Amino acid sequence: MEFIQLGLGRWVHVTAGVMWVGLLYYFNFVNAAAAKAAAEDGTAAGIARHVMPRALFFFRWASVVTWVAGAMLLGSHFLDAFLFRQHAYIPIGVGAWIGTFMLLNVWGIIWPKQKRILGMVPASDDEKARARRIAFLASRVNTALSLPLLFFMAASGGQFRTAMF
Amino acid sequence: MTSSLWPTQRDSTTGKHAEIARADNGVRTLSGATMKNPLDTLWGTVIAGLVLTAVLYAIVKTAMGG
Repeated sequence: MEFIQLGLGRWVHVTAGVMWVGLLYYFNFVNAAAAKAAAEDGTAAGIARHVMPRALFFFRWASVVTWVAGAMLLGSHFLDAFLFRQHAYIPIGVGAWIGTFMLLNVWGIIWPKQKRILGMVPASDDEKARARRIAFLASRVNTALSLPLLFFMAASGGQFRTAMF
Repeated sequence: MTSSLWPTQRDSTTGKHAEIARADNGVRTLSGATMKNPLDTLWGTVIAGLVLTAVLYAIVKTAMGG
């Protein structure tokens, strides 16, 4: 049982997290500027039609897998982390709260707005422009939050926690 | 910069939504100063993340009695 929860669970958590944050960084460090340049030379349709739907599919579902595997890793200490009930679980608790906020940001703001931007949900040009701005800022918030998230994830285990806290 | 990218607020006299006063590259405050959103640039986003990391680290370290 420990092999599945702590061994495979950590592996799945880290792998899905790499996909989630990796695609988040792709959107912010690569795609935002690329889409702007593509709009200027009239080639943005290809990105919107062929790249974004696929990238967003793996992005949003990787966020779910990451969170579920993280919850499985915490196991019986889930509430100790989220409620900061034990000192040892405060760092990972902070990371867990940030990750939860980011997950809600993905499913509650970014994905619904992207559906309008990409035409999956009917929207006027004005609504699309507004959705684009909101999705952009929500994505940037998650990018900023990813830095403390990764710090607390990396600094929460064993000798690393002892060294950092 | 298109106006639709910015939030609106209801005008108390006309009842219509009007844009929040803004400059070309940021939001203009009541005092006339221009305030940019750090999340509009990658560097601003990264710096905001680093500052947040440092603040949270200090809080957690204190909470753990460090």
